[in-house]
Amino acid sequence: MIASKQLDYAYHGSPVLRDVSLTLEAGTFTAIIGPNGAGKSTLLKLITGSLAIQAGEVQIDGRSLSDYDFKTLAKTMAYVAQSFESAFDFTAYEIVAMGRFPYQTAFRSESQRDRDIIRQMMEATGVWSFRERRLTELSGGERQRLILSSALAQEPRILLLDEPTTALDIKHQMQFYRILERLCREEQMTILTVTHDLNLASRFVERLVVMKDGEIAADGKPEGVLTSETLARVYEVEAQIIPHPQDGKPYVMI
Amino acid sequence: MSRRRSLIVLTGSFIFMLATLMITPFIGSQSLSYQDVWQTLQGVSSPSGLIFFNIRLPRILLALLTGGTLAVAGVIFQALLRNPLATPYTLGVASGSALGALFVIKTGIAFAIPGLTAVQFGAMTGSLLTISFVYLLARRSARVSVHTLILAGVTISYFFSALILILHYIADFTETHQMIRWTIGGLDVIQYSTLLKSMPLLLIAFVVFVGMGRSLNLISTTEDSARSKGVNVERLQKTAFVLASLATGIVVSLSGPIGFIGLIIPHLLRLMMGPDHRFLIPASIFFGGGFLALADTVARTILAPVDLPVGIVTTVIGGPFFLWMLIRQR
Repeated sequence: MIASKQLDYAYHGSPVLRDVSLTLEAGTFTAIIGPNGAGKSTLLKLITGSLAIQAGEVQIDGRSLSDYDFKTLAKTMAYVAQSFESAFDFTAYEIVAMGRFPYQTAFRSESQRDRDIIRQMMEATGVWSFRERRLTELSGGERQRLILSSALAQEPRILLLDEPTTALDIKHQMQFYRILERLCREEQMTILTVTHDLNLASRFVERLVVMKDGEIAADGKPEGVLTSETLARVYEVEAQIIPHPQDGKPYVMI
Repeated sequence: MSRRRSLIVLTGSFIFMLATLMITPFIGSQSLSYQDVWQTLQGVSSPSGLIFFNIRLPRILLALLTGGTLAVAGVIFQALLRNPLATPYTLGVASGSALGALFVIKTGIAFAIPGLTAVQFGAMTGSLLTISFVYLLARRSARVSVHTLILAGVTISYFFSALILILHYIADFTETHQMIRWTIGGLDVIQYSTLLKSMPLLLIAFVVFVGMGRSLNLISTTEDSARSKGVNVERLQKTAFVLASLATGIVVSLSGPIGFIGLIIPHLLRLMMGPDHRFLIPASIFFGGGFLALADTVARTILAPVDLPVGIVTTVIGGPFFLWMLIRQR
């Protein structure tokens, strides 16, 4: 479970987040949407702890974020960024093995359990077949699944993602969201993703949180949130909403 | 599979270091035989034995220690700054410590801290101040690109060289004589006691660096990614920066700012074994040491009886190597 309580945040004096309180129940799949500069990534970074909290509180499973040590937090919560950089050309296997860091100590090699988990997560995300290939030899879609795999190797109960599919084509976007959906359903993982793709989010997530100007502008099931009025208010665009022919979820036409 | 290869290269580096230790002391303007050296060990004094044990062996040992330290410091800086061009030399750390050492010689400040001479203390202070500056510059904003940082380091290096020249000009004859070696970088005759005094901190640093292997793998990706996987990023950065700078300061105070070891060795090893720091760090200590001992043997013999400072040899090899890497990096 993730809870943010009255979070305020300002960059160099200009406020980015205002009084954001949000509770995500365990085992739910939620997306944050909203225009550029709405504060989505800032909120995510405050939850991961990569930005220091200025005012308010973040709780993970009922404990304040500041009470966690780095490794315990990494066993609880994993993060997938929009893109992944590395100064050196690691192999796919080495990248996923990095996810085992919180379970390891210096001067010890990987345990059998580490190796089992690495393999299991690589197979679950379909990256096991190119485990010996190097980072520079991988396509964008392969890289994102690899990073997801590395995050899953942390065996987290919570997964946070920042626009993970932005650089992917539609096939790989669907594939990526299907993996997330399965993790949520089968592993009861709590998943929170920031995205700009309203239609993908609409099809896969249970809850949409809409942000604008550092505040939560709408919150609820996609059916309740993705309306012409909300989109006009938040994005300042005129859009029509039709039900998706397959599952009836709202589909945004611009 | 790649793990096996890493282990092979690591073992190979160790054997290379041992081999240079066994072979290079016998090479030189005065050729020595194994029998003479063996006899000396049994208490029979001979000129050959004197040359071996009092001149060549300490020099080779110093080369191993210096080469290993500069190479591993290169690996550490490269991981922390995420750029294979970062080295004690290119970041200005080596010239910072040379300046610190010369400053102490010139001002004649005399004091002793257990295990350290005043000159060593000056060198370590110089390298720490320089790396603090580089670190603050890097932390100040994510937008300072690593290339800017390297450029800043090279500029600092030039600036310090100018200050070093000023110190040379205002120095008297004995001071100048003492100063020369810190400017070029060479492995002069050194006493075992000096070597022994420098060992503890360097060995501790080596062990800590080997233990940091996994964390350094993570930090060489992105800071956010490393933190989200459980690395205490700030602590790691501070510990590694400080320890690598102190170690650099110590060897520079003994051998002067020998260039490009920290560039060539890590790069060659990464080509051979991949970037996994758990193997790269120990391998760079062994390979860097062996490489410098070999380079020093070349420096001693190539223009014999002239004894070139080894810094000239490494720079002649390293300069073009650096340019090649710079161009290849885009």
